[in-house]
Amino acid sequence: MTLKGYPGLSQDDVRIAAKGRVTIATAPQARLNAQHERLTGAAAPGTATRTYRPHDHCQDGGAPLCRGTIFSCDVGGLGNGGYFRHTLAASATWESMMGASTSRSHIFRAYPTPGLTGSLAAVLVVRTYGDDIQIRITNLTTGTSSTHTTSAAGTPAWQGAISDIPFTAGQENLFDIEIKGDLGEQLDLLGLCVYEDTATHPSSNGTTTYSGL
Amino acid sequence: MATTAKANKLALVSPRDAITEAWAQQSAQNANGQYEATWDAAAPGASAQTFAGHDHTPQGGGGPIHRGCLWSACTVSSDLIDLSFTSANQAIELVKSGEAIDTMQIHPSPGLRADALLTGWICYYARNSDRFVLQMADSPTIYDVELPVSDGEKYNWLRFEIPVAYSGRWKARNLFIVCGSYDSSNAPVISLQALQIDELPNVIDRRGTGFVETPAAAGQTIIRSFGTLDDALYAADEWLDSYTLRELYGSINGLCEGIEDARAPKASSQVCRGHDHDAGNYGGRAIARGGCYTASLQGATYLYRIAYNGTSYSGYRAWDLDDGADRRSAASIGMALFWVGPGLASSGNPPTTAPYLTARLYVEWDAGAEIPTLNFRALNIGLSQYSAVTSVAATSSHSAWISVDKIPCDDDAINEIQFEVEMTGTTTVQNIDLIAFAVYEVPGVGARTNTSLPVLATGGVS
Repeated sequence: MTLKGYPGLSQDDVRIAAKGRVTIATAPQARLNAQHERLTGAAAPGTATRTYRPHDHCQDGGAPLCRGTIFSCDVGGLGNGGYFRHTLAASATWESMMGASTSRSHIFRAYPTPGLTGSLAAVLVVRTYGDDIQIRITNLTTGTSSTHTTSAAGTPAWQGAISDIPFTAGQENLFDIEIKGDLGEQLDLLGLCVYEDTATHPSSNGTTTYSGL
Repeated sequence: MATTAKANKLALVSPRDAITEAWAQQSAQNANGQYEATWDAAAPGASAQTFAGHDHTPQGGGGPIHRGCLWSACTVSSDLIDLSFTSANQAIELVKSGEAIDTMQIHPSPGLRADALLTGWICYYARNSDRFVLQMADSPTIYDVELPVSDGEKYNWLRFEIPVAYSGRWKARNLFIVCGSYDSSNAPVISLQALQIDELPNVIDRRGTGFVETPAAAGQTIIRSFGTLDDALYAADEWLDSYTLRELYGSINGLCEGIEDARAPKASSQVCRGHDHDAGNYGGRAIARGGCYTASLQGATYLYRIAYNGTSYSGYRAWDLDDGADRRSAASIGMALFWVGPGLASSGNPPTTAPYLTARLYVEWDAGAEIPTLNFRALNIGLSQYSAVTSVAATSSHSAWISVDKIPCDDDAINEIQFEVEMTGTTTVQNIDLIAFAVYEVPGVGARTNTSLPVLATGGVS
């Protein structure tokens, strides 16, 4: 059966008193068969093979979808703070948590979903030794940084959030975690989750939701 | 009067064929079926929903989608793990020596081709041998990735790929490092600081042809509407009129835009917004989006410990008990923090039906001569609701992954999960360690709704 395709379904073809051509019957059926395959990923009813690729909310069509977590790490209890620790070597200067003793190019990498826009978000748990310390996430691929959040000093563990991490969709992005405070102050990163949420969904060209159509 | 949703076989209508009411009725029924599968809502005018919304699983319909990060672990100031080799060509698992723990637990998307490749990134420092190889341990064919020896540089990043087929569902994923030459006076060592496994768009099957958008046609009136396509419109011997066709055409055009999030063929602009699997926003069934949070130091040490040490406790204890007054649980900060996909708002304490989350935990204890029974559960701190309980009954020692299922979730806030342990049978068992864990929205399970309904991909053919 070859009755699959995307012919236009124009109101002009079904005007009152207009002559009916066979396409007024074949066109909607072709569209329904093609849409069945694009929607479900299965061959249209009665056909042996699938002609159209299913939508995947990415490169094969459909609205781009956020995927949730794109990077996370956690070192567990406070006793493991030394696994993800940085002691500031200067005051009032942004320093990478990688420190200077490694040739590591970045702390983590992530692949934001193609088609998304806006900013990534993060939630993090830290422990600060000393005064308040500012924390931000820098995207080394774009060369831009998030705004910073400031961890409260003197608390056993502190939870914060960042909502404006820059990214480029559809490719690997390299990230650094930077902190700023006073010389000698120390910060342990205990947990971090970087995620795509619905705020990264691009605006649709459509203006009406299905329930209002 | 009835509005029926079906997936009929729409046969070719040839010139000079008689137009019967059947072709139009079947087309309308198919349009209704696609409406329900797209939006996860009853077709306009229908009293009940016939088909479940698609969820991009083989069971729920829709093509597989890539789900992003499956596993990640990272440190900067101490190594996740240091592997020291004691002979040439020795293979050591990427975990602490002597541990039975598997490297990771991952859950690739359902429906992917066996030869689809997951993408991995490893940050390492390898020295004192002429070569190092990252090796898959459980593959029928040895799968090797050369790890260049670090040449004066510490901690290189390397991208590698892993076939999906060898990963399985909730199957341990074992990665080994094999060294080359060996010199006892300067033994080979590899240090690991980061490891990540991702499911990227390249895993998606590209068979068939895609929808090629047709150019807009000037002067065409492309209507988009979701009116009622009632069976009565197509009753036997009724005249096929312009209104009936217009309703059908409008529905199909609207569905096209809803599926594709692109303008309908020949239309100059898009009217209907594409579905986004968010019932509270632009429609469609909630789908599981894969990994929420992973935590591991590759077995180098435990993440959390409950040290009973002869102390008598009753009831559940937060797993960070060993951290004393400074522990996260004392500040109501979760051991896992993440955002879940829209629509994954559970109900019930614990939830009994989807949606909910699932966690895999690597747990160890050795109680010597005692044989305790341990119960495990997860608390969603924000919801103050618990998961189902998983019990490991009457065993003196344990070193394996367990599942904690039906974890409550909230799609309107950051979810903070706290793992808890209860012991019965003895109160003197030694350390109960949480070595690693992963929290997942499990595709095809944790987000399923309308499980009693058939899916359009397989149902309703006549």
